[in-house]
Amino acid sequence: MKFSLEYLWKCILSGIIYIPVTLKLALIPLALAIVFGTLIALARIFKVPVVEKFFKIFVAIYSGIPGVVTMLIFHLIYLSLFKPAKNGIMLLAYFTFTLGRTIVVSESVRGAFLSIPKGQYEASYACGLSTFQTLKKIIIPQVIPVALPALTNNALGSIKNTSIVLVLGIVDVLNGATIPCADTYSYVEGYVAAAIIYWVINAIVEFFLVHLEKHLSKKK
Amino acid sequence: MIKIEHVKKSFGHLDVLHDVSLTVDDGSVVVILGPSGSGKTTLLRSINFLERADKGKLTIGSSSVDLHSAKKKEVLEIRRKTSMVFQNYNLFANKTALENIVEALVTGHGIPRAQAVERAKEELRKVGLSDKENYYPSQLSGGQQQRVGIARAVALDAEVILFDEPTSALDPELVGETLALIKQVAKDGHTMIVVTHEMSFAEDVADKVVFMDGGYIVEEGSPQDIFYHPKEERTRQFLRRIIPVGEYVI
Amino acid sequence: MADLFSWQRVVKNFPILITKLPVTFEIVAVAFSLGFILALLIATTRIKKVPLLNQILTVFISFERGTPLLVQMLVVYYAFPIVLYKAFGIDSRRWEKIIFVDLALILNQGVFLGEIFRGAILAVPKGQKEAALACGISDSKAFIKIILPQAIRIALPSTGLTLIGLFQETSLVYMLGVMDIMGRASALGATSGHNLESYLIIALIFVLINFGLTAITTKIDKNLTYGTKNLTGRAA
Repeated sequence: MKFSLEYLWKCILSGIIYIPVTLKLALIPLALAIVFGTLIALARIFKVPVVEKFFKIFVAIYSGIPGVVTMLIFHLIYLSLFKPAKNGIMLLAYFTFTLGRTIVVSESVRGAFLSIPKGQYEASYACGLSTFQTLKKIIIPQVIPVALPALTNNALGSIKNTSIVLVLGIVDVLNGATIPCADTYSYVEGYVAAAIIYWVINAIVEFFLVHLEKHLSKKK
Repeated sequence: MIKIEHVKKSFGHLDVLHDVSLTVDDGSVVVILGPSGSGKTTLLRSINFLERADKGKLTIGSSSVDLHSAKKKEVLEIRRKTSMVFQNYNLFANKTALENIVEALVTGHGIPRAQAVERAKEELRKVGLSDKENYYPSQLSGGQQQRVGIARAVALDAEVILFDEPTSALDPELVGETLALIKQVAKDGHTMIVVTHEMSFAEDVADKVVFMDGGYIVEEGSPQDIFYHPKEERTRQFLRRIIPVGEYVI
Repeated sequence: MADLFSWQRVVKNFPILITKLPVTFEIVAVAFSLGFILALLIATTRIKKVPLLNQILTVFISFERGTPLLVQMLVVYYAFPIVLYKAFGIDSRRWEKIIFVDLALILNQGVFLGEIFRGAILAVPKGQKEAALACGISDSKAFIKIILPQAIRIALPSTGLTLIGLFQETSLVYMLGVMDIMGRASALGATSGHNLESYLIIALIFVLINFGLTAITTKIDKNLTYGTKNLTGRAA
């Protein structure tokens, strides 16, 4: 049983090439999720008639299904409904991640909104502000510092979550780092390399986001 | 007798206590007054090692400890000879009123449970909260919580009871009845050191009043002496600010 | 599309799949209980700031939080035997796969629960400890009788959520070859060519487990409130 540092380095280099794949799979769905998730959260907070009930049930059910399972289900549906397209699998991955992240983000945003005391709304209305103005000038500025840590967690979680594309065969950091292993039959260096790459990416993104958090909180 | 000698304490660059010595006779009540930051609370908390003084010696009865270098065992011994009433009551949130006292007796002082329960019930009766025995602190008002806190401190049968601004966190209407209770504790003959802002209480109950400022004891004496014939200018300044003009003749 | 889904297969596969559900429960039980104990050790070590251990833990915690669980499992599966061999000369390559998966999950749970416990212990008001000390109660007894019970109550909501998350995370273990419910579904699909029914059954099972656990944890949260009507702040 051996562990070769030379091969470890080879695997790291191999994996690094695929960092953009992982990042795109993580951040694009996240960006979309923030947009859609916030809309869903708002719909639920303001109890928009049909939408609220629907998403309440949908979120409760969907978040009970593990990510891998939903991915496999969508994969099967995709395979039978669509003709195999060039980037089909990739789009499938984007779709599944976006859906999943939207649910998670909507919950985070909803939680942040709920933490704002009702009195803030009441005082604002009493001063004659409309709902839109209230949201824009009073509520959302208070929601952002509260939601930021949760969104940071979401971003980091999103990056880690992309590793399940393993089941689809997409080559990301995890898969990419183990490419050299096919020659040596030793996979340990590959997976350790993947771990190191993820660890470093995570540390960098976390550092950046925490600073962003501090910067935005200071401004308020 | 309780003797505190040459206590010194700094928090970083801030010198909170410079050289403080105090003697408390058995069965007497000493009230410590002074502005915020005078060090009075730090002094009190140094006695039961909730703050670790930089220098000083504490003597309770016949045993002495060094306030800085006391070992765990000595600290525990002192804590078993003293008890404290806190400004924020600090009742054990996960225990009922009765259990708060019982727990202290059983785990803190090694009293057998049956005996502890009996004593606890008696102390609760004395503070008028027998019917709230099985209530949790969150179900009691601030005034009630403090009464349980006092019952707990008294039940421990300590050589000295330390009161850290016992009424500062209470609503004004409740201050009076709490002070009355503390007065009763004094009447029962307990040795007490009370840090407070309540002047008339001090005048009424104290055997000795100590005025602290800037980490020093500025002046000490009987209530009569301090309130009516203060010797130090600093004492006069303090009293003038606290007491409405005309109430005391300075 | 025609042969994608059939109720017949749903009925046929269900009993086959359900026999493997105990494997999932077993993994969760082992990972959670041992992870719980590890978490207590980690939390207390970190709070007490034990010299060398604290630094090692900081690095370890950073690793566990910064890497995907799937990767952690793969690393444990491939690297642990090497470490064990180098250190003790034991060859663990033939051990049951479930052991490696359990190990990875125990470490992961230990770190995440450890952070929750640490936060909960630190959240107990300082005055509680001071009052206990002032009553002559020793440090350790104060921790066990006054601080810990209150910390448990604070930690409960987050711990419940972590347990629920753990169930979901076990869906990954089949990728290492563990024959759990997912593994069974995969095997069924390989022979019959039809997976959708199996995965939908699994999805349903997980949703039901999720609902059940959420209901239980909500009930427990409500009951452990020492008489207060509402808990302040759900730490999630």
